[in-house]
Amino acid sequence: MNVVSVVNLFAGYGPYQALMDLSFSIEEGESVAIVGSNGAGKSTVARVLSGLVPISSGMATVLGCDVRVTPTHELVRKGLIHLPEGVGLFTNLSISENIELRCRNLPRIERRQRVEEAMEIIGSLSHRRTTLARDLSGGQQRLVAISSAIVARPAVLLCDEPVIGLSPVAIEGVYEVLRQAQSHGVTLLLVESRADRVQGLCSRTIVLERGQLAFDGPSNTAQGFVANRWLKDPPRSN
Amino acid sequence: MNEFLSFAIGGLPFACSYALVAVGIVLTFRATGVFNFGFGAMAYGAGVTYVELCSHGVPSWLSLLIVTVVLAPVFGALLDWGLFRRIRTADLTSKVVTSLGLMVFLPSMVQIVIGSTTVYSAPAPFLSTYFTTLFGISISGPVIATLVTTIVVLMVMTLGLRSRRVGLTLRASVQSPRLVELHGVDSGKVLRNAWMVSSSLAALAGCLYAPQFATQNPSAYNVLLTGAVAAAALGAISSFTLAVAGGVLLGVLQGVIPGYLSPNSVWYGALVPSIPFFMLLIMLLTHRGFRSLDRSKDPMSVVEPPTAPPGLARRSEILGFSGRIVNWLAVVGLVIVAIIFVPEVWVGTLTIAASMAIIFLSVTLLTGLAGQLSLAQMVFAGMGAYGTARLSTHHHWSLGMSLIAGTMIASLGGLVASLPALRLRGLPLALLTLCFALLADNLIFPATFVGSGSSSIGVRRPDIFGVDFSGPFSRNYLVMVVAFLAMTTFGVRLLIHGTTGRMLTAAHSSEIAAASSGVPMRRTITIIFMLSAAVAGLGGGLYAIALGSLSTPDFNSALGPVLLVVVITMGAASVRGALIAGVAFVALPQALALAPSRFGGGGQSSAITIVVLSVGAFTYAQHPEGIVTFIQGRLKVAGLRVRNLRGDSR
Amino acid sequence: MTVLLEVRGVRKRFGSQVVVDSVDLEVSAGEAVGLIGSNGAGKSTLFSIIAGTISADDGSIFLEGRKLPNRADERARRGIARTFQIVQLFGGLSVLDHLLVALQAHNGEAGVFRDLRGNGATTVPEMTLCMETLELCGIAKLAHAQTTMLSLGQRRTVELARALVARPKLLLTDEPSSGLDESESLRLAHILNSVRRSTGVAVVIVEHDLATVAAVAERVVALDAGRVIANGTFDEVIANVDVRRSWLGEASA
Repeated sequence: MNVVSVVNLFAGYGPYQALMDLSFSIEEGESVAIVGSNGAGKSTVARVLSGLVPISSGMATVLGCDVRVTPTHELVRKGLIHLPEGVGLFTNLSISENIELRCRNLPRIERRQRVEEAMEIIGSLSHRRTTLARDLSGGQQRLVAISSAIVARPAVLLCDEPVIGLSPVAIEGVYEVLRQAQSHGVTLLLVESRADRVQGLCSRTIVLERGQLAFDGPSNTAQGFVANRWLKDPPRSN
Repeated sequence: MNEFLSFAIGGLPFACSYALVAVGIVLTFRATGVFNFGFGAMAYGAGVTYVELCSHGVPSWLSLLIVTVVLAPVFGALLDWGLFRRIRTADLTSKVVTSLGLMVFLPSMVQIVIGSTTVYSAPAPFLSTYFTTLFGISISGPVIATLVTTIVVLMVMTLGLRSRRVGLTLRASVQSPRLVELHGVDSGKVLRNAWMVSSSLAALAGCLYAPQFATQNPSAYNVLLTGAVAAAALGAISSFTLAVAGGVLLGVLQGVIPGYLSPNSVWYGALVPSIPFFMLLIMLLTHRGFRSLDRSKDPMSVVEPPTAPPGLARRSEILGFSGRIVNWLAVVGLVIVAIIFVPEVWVGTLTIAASMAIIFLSVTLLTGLAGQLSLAQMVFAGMGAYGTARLSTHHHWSLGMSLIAGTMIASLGGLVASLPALRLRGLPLALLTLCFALLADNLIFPATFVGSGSSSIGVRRPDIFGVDFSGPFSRNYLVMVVAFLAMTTFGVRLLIHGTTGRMLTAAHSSEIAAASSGVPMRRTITIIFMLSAAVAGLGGGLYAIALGSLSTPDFNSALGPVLLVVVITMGAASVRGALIAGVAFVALPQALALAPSRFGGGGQSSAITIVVLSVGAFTYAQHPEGIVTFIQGRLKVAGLRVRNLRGDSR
Repeated sequence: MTVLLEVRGVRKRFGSQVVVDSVDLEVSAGEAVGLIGSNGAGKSTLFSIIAGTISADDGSIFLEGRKLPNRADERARRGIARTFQIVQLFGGLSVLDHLLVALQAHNGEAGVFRDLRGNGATTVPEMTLCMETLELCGIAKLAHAQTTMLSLGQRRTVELARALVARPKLLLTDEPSSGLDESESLRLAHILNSVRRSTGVAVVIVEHDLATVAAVAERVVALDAGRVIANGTFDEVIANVDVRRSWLGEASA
C-alpha cells in the first residue's frame, strides 16, 4: 500500500516554483532518501508533504489524506512526523518535556514509559532529562528529536537533513537511531545533500535536480548517477 | 496593626484588578508572543459597557456576566481572527506596535461610540450593600466579592495550566507556532483560546475596577495598565504566580502608603502614583529574564526565515530622480503659498502643525532609522518646552538662547534614556521608556522648579534681531518654525540615505553580524538617541512658544504611544510620514470641528482623529513602510499599468 | 614567520560545564589553520571568544603582540573578520551594501557626523574596493542583487566577501561547507584559497568536512572536550589515535 504518493506536483514560495512536475510514491515500510544539491527542492518536498508549503498544482497524499485540504496538525495526528532541517526541538523545554509533548495525549503512566523508552534510545543523556534542550549540543538535540519522534510511533518519519553540521561520530549516532526507527517498521523518508551517506540506511534514492526528478532507483546505482552528473555538468554556485 | 490592615484592605480591589490584568498579559505573551498594551483599553471598554448596562437598569451581576462571559471572549476571538493571527510569525517589534495601536485606538473608539465620559457611579457587581466586621476591621461587601471572584478565577486558571496538555502546549507554541503544528497541535486554536481567556480577564478587571470611580475616563485605566505591567514584570512576564503576587503587592502598597502620608505632603501626589513605575524600573534593570526576551527565537526561523524583516523598506526607492524633484518643488511651493496666503485664523494652527511635525520627525529618527521603540518622545518634547518656557520667562534669557538650552536639556534626557537602550531592545525598551514617561508625568513636570504645579506657565514671544514674533497669528513666527522644520527634515534625510541608514539597517537585521563587521553600535545608538531627543526638544520648544502658555496636560505621557503609532501609521521609514502626520494631527481635529456634529464634528473630533490616524498600526506587520509609501507604491504600479495599456493600444 | 594571533590559556564555562579548557593557539601571518573536533568540543565557542562576541572567563588573546580590546566591533576594526555557521546577512540590503557597511565601519568612516556634513554618498575608492572584493570572490555580477533571492552557496560567498572587504589580517570562518553539496564546498574552498593568495589574510577554519579541511588548511588543530588534543599537518592529525577516536568515531586500538 502507498503511504505517500505524489502526482504531477508543482509547488513553491510565491512566484518561485521550487518543484516542477514531480511524481513518486512510497510503500509502507520502505526507506527512501531524497538527494539533491542546494535549491534542488528536496526540503520543499518534505515541507509540502507536511502541509507547510502550499501546492500550486498536482496532488499529494500522505496516509490516505489529501495534503491540500488537511491541516498540518491533522496529518501529524494521522501518524506523520516531520523533523525539520536543523533542530526540531523546543529549546525552552527540557529533554523529557520535549518527549512528553510528542505523546501528550496518552495517559500519565504510558507517557512515563515512553519517556523512559526514548531516554534509553538516546543512551548517554539519561541523567540529564531535566536539562533544557538549548543547553545540549547540536548532535544531542537531534538525537533527542529523533528518539522522541520514534516513541510517538509514527507511520511515516520525514527527516530533513538530520546530520547537517555534525561531526562524523555524531552522524553515526544519528544514523544508528534512525536504524532503530526502521526496526520499528516506520516508513522513513530521509532528505540528504550527499548521496554517499545514505547507502547503508536507505535502499532507494530519489535524486532531484532543479525541482525535477532526475533519478529514482536503488541507492547504490544512485551514487554512481550523481557522481557522473557532476563530471558532465558541474553545478555552478553562482 | 488594625490601621495597617484596614489600609491594606482598601487597596485590595486595586490589587485584584492588577493581578487579573497581569495574568492576562502573561498569558497572551506566553501563548502568542504579543505583549498586549491594549488590555488597559480593553478593561476601560468593559468598565464603560458595564456602567452603561447598569445605568440602563440591568442588574449588576447580570451586566458583569454579559461583559465578561459573552462580550469579552467574542472580542478576544475577533482580535485574534482579525489582527493577531495575521502577525503570528512577525517579529517582536511588529507585535508591540500592533498592540500599541490597540492601546491608542480603543479608548477613542469607546468614546466615539458611548460618549466622552460616563458620569454614573455604578454599583459593585455583587454584595453592593453588604457590610461586615472582621477582627474589628470593617469590610465592605464589594471588597469581599472582588476578592472571592479573583481568587476563584485565578485558581481555575492555575489548575488548567498545571495540566501537562495545556501547559506544555502553551509553552511550546510561544516559541514556535509552526513547530508546534508539526507536533500535532492546532496552534490556531491555542492562540484563539489564549485571547478569549485573557480578554475575559481584562474585562473582569475592568468591571471590578469601574465602581471605584465616579466617572469613567481612559487615564484611570492607564494606571490599571501600568500597575498590571509592573506586576507582570515581577516575573519577567513569564510567571503567573509572580504576576499575581506583584499585583497584590502593588495594590496593598498603594492602599497603605497614602494612609501614612499627610495629603498635603509633596510625596502624596508624586510618590503614590509612581510606585508601579519604580517597581517596573527596578525589574527591567535587574531581572535577567528581560534581556533574553527578544532572543528566544523560533527554531524554525532558521529553516524558513519569516518574511523579510520589517526593518526599513527605505532602500527601495519608489520615485525616480525627476519625480523626486517635482515632489519637492511641489512641497516647497505649497509651503510658500500657505505661509503667504493662509487666512489669519489658520496661521496659529499651521505653526503648531509645523512644530508637531518636528516632534514627529524625532520618532522617524529613533524608530524608523534606528529601530528603537521609544514611548518617551513626548517627555523629550516636554523637556524642550519647559526648558524654553522657564528660561525665557523666569530667567529672562533671550528666546534664541532658551530654545537652544531647551534643546540641549532634551538631548541630555536622551543621553540618560540611551543608557538602558544599550542593553535592552524592542519590548523591554518600550516598557522602560513608557515607565520613564510616566515618571516624568508624575515627578518631573508637576514639580515647581520645572512647571508651576498644576497651573500653567506663560511663554514670552519676544523679538529676535528686530523681527517681531509676538502675537498668536504671527506669520514671521510661522516662517521661523517652517525653516526649522525644513532644516530638521533635511538632516534626517541625510541620515536615512547616508552611511548611518545603511549601518543601522544592517544592525537591525543581524546585530551580531554588524558588530563582527565593526559597526560601533553603542556609539551610534547613543548619538541617535541624543539627536532624536534634541529634535523632539526643539519641536517642543517651538510648540510651547506657539501656544504662548504651558500646562501639564500639553505633554501628557499618554501622548507618547499616540506619537509612535501615528508616525508608524504614516510611515516611519521616510520623512514624508512624519510631515503628513504632523499636519494631519493638528489640521484634522480643526477640520472636524467645523464639520456638522453628525459627521463627527464638535466634541468627538480629537477622538476621531486618533482613531483615523492609528488604524495603520494594525497593518504595520504587513506594510512596515506605512500608509503614505504604500499608497505611493500602489499609484506607481497603477501608473505603470496605464502606461503599458496605452503602449499596447498603439 | 611572525605570529599574528596568540591565544593563551583561554577558559570558558557555561554553568558547570567547561566548554573551552586552557586552550593555547598560535596563528602566523598568512597561515591557514583548520580547527576540527566533534560537536560540543568547543570550536564555535573558541571562535566567538576570539571574535569578541563571548567573553572568556580566563586567559588572554593577542593580535600582533597587542592585547585585543573587549568588544566585537573594536576587534573587527583591529582586523579580525568572521563568517557564521548559520549565515548572517543583512535583510533589506543589496550585496554591495553589505560590503559598504563592513568597509565604512571598519575604517571608522561611517556615522552620523559624516552624513550630517553631507558626505553620506559612497566615495569612488570605497566603491572600487568593494567591486574588487566581489570580483575576487567571483560574485561581481550579484553586486546589486537582494540577498533573499540568493542560493545558500551564494549567500555564504557574500558573507565571505563582507568579511574580506576591509582586508582583515585574520579571517575566522565557521563551517563554510555546512549545508552545501560536494561541488559547492569545493568551490568555496577554492575561493578561500585564491583570496588567501592574493590578500595574504590568515584563515582559521572550523569544519567537519574532511575534503574542505584538506583543501584549505596548512595546519590542523584538533579539539576535544575543550582541550587541544593534536596539532600538526592534516595527515598527522588525522592519523592521531585520539583524534580518530573522538572525531571519526573509531574504537581505540
